[in-house]
Amino acid sequence: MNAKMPDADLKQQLAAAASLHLGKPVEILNLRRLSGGASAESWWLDLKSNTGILEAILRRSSVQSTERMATSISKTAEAAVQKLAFHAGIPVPKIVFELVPEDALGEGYVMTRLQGESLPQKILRDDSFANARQQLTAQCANTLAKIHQIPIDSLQQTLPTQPALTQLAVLEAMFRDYRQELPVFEYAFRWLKQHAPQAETLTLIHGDFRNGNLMVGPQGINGVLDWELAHIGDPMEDLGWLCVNSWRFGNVNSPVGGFGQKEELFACYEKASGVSVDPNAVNYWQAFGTLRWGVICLFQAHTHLSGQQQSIELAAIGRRVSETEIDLLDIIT
Amino acid sequence: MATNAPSAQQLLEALQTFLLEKISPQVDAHSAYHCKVAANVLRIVGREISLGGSHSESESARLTTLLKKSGSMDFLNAELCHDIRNGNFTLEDEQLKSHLWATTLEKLAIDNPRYSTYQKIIKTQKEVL
Repeated sequence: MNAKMPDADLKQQLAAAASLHLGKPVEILNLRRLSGGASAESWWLDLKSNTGILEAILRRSSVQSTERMATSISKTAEAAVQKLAFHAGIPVPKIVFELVPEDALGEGYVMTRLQGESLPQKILRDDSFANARQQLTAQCANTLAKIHQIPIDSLQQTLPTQPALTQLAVLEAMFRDYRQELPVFEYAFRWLKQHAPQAETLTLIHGDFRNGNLMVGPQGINGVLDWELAHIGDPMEDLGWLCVNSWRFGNVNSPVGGFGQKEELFACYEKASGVSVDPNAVNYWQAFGTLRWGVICLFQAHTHLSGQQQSIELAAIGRRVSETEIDLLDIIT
Repeated sequence: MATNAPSAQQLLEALQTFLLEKISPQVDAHSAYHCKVAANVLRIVGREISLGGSHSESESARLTTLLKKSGSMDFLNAELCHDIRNGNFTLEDEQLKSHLWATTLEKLAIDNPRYSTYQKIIKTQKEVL
């Protein structure tokens, strides 16, 4: 996708960096690029040393990223949050080492590679995940409760604080950039401005906790991935985002990620966190998340329309904006 | 405008078949996926050719009534966006909501009539219409 250093050079530089950070000679095996977002690259690799082979993933900032989602955090901040989550007992890949400027590999880190499946359609449909599907709602509730209990004192400098109206302003500015006349989005922006909940306590928010960012095995969640949208905010945001229709993949009657019911999610969350769930706030964040997804679709179509990256896939995404329009109307009218 | 056969729809179908049956089996998985996406885009274009004209007429008529103005569709939609943004409608306005629903359902009928929420609404024939 991006013209950048050949894989062979990357492999050599990574081996040097890994040897330095781990204090022993390390060889890089099976390096290959994984498909990824616009703002970050992910690479699959194995680290071979005298103590054996470590299965790993490299995450780093896109060398040529010209545009990134306004709300995503740096790879350094992402690593910091993931370490905190790991120490809080949340299933999350362990940071093996972080890149430093001397490595000349950009900003990023190497983490352990978890076993399992993250493709939502497989998790929702394959027989081998039938047991996992029954566990997922309670596991999501318990995991979110744990994330929201992490003390945020040490994160105040690292992460942006984004209650509803702050995020809404960022989203609206992005939307205005694309100059699309979308009456339903205008209606939704106004509704979201009028109905913004007042969160009693702001907590650490994963920011992209949904089917697709969960590594799932036969017993359920093996790990929570993709922390690049982490921030300080209203804990109900994570619950609402998990319920956005776009990740149900047709399972419209299982609002929680396409696999569960809100009643179970809320009950388990309340039990694990001691915090009562306000269904109206979750509903608000579900609408917010739907609009956010709609603006992300506009962003992707714009990448094509602006000539930045010609792609049939990005062009087609422009016609998925109407899916978010109908979901918005379904929630707020 | 009259054309010789094949019709636009038949040309689109021929192109879909070409992509899915001739090209797709010969290319790598990533490009085969893009063939699928491209074939789906052709289905959108086909539905737009069938439905787009009548949808535009009904949308334009609704906008003219709602805004008490006439003009191009782009103009009317820009006006509607401006009016919603600036509070010239209340969010409870039934005529506004009814227009937003009708327009959105028309968009889905072209973009993705299999979409779960569209199917749900069509089946329950939600009262907002």
